[in-house]
Amino acid sequence: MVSLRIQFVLFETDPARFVTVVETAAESARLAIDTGVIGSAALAIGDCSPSPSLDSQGIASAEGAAAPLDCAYTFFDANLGSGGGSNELWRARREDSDLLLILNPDTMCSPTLIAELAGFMLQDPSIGIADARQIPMEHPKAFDPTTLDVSWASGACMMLRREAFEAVGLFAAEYFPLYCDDVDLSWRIRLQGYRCVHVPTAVVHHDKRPNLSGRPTASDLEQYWAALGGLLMATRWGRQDLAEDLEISLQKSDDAIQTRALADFLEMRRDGTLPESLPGGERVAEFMSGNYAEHRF
Amino acid sequence: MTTPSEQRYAFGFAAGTPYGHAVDLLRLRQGDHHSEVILDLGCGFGAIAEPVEDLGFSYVGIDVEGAGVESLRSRGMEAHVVDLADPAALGHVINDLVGPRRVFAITMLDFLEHVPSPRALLASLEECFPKGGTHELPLIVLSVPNVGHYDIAAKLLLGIWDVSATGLLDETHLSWFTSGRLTSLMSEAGYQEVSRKDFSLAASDQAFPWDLASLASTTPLSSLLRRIRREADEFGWVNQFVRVYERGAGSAPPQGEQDPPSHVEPFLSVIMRTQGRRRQMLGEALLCLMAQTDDDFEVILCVHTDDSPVTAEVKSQVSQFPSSFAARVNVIEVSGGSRGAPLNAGLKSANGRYVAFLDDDDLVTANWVEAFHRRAATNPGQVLRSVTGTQTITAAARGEYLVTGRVDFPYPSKFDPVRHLYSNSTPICSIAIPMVAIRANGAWFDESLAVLEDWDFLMRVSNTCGVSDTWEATSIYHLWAPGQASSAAEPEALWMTCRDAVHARLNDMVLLLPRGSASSIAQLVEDGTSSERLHALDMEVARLRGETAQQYAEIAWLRKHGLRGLMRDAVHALRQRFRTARSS
Repeated sequence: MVSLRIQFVLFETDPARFVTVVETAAESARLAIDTGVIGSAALAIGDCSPSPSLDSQGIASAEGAAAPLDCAYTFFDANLGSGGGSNELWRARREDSDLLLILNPDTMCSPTLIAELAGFMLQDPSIGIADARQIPMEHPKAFDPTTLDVSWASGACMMLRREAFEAVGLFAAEYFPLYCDDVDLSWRIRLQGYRCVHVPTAVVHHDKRPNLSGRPTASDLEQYWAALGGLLMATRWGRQDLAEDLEISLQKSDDAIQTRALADFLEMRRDGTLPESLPGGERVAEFMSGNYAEHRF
Repeated sequence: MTTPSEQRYAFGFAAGTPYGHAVDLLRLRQGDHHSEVILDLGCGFGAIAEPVEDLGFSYVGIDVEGAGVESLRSRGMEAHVVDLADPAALGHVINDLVGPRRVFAITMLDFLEHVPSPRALLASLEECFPKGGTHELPLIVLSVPNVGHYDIAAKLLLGIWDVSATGLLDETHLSWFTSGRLTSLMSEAGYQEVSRKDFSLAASDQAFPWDLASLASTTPLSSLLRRIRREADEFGWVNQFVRVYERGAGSAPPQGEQDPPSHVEPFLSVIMRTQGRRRQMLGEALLCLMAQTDDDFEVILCVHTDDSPVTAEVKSQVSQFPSSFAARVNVIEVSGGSRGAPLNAGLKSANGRYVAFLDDDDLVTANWVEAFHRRAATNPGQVLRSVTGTQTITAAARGEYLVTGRVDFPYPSKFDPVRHLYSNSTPICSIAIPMVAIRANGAWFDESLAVLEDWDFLMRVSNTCGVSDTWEATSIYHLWAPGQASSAAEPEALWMTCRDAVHARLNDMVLLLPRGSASSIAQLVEDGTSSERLHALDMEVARLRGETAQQYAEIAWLRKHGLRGLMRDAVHALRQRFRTARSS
């Protein structure tokens, strides 16, 4: 029977609301078990906050919300980033899970999320990674309506096949602690020969809210990683031309966040810590007008 | 000889009056009962004595005033002077004066409002006729003036309170009753209403001075206030409540007749409607509700179907959610009716202080409830309005739909009541409405409207409550590709008919507009006037262009042919005239 591991990485997360998040994930897992899609599930929570997001009562509440599924909490006492935190939780696991579901702490699972995601993945062993439809602010990535193949899977809610995750060495947390880590992971898994799919019937609520421009409000951190991540991705995935264009564009920018991102990139270059270009990367990498996939809108 | 003061309650009996209605109700309830006692408390001059005896009953009148009792006795009726303010008095009346005789009904016509404690009086009755005792508690027939009559409210709004010798505001009244208060009082005392024949007057004894702006029927203020009163409940012009009660389970008063509760939980009732056909979209809407940052709400999920298995499936779908959320979702089946039917069913079941609406194919952000709640704290009593975005979708091979466009915001963030008179730009998921306004104004969705029922509803409620904008984007209204929405099934002609119906209703209303509306209307008039002037200028320019073109043509001819051409034409014309003159 297929086993599932569900992982959350926290950073200064609201404990009361997170218990509801755990409740929805556990309920979705229980439904997938009851319908025979998977055989078992367990939850793991890693906390990168400066001080624990969950005190003993919070931990007990989370464990209660997950019951009867196992739920383990680890305070890292270090900011490992979302990718690094996920890697650490995975390496520390005591059970051998066939599937891994990574969820943001600001997501809530629909009851059928896990059954839909796992159900689709298990039909085809070549599927290495899959993501879900996010509501209310749907991601604009295009996907093949027949095969459901997509350029990359969103780390807010992604399901991984164990073999695929381990074959590519987990998240490249040293380069992408936050943002772009999911794109990089997806492309490395595809480069390994696996498929990456989007399952529109698997629905997760991701707490994004539009401003009146219609787009989600981008935090400073998101803007920083949009810039630095773009430079690193272009460098790693065989698009030195794009990296140079972006470097020029950022040099002209008077936005402080973008300036800092460029400065950090240049420092990495001087230190020789930039990622090396991946052979064959250009076969899977999709750079589309500043995005990593063709967009429907 | 009675004094003028004693004579003021010397009312005669006539059909079609409150006394006539009371006797009518007794006749309807009489059945095989004859010769039993009708005990008339606070009988005054016994206006109903003879009609009651004519029915075959045995009349007994009780009053504290001797003049009325004397009058009854002189007419051969049984009557006694008893001060019912004395707690032991009722027992004396029943045990000593009535004795072993069976009492069919106790009438209290224009009496209860004069009693220091109606509640205590009813409790005394309970003691005089204990359950399982020798005699069953008789029927109670009440006739009580309505303090909720429009005339009183219309004057009180302008600071006028005219106490009089008799009538609605009799100077000796100690209690005042609306229908709701009367119903609550009797229900709490263990009585249930079995029939009524209320007495109405378009103009009560309080309808003076006639030229008061709120009373005169032709003023805008009076038109507005009368509409508000008419929509609040059916008792705006009832002068006297005339009702029959019997001992019962003391069930809850009929909906709409309860006094508004002082504290209603939760903050918000979310009314969802679904036909159960789009299960994935319904699940997504429910997921959005479960993800709310403010959980002070309940969900009333109205399944609009005649197919009970569909309702069962929806209930099953709800049960898949964590119990902490599923327990707050009440699924009800609504069969038949138009689009407004499930909404009205939801309103009847709502317990929240405010009510909001979410269709099964729309989405809300996690702060949807929170935004309403925050605004309600600073702007109580108003319709709350958030910003709704639109997003295009189309049917999909996998799943029920595919998003094809970004979120746009075509609707103004600020509510414009003037522009809303023309058309609706407020999706139903944008608004939360105070329930007290819905109950007080009798505001329900018009089920005769096949479409645009939400616009009609919004305009009726917002006219009195006003609208307060939250300025937060909290919902997404899905726009189906052409031909794919359920509403697309409605023909254009039906939309126009419903639009005309809404406009006709708006035209019939006295409209309240918020501050700043005068400038908006002035600007619209100026825009319209400018438009007319532009059109006139366009016409003038076209005319001048025509004239200019004609003149250019003439100049071109002259240049081509020169002055000789003109002379030649003139000679030709003269020769023609000469030939004509010679031939004639």
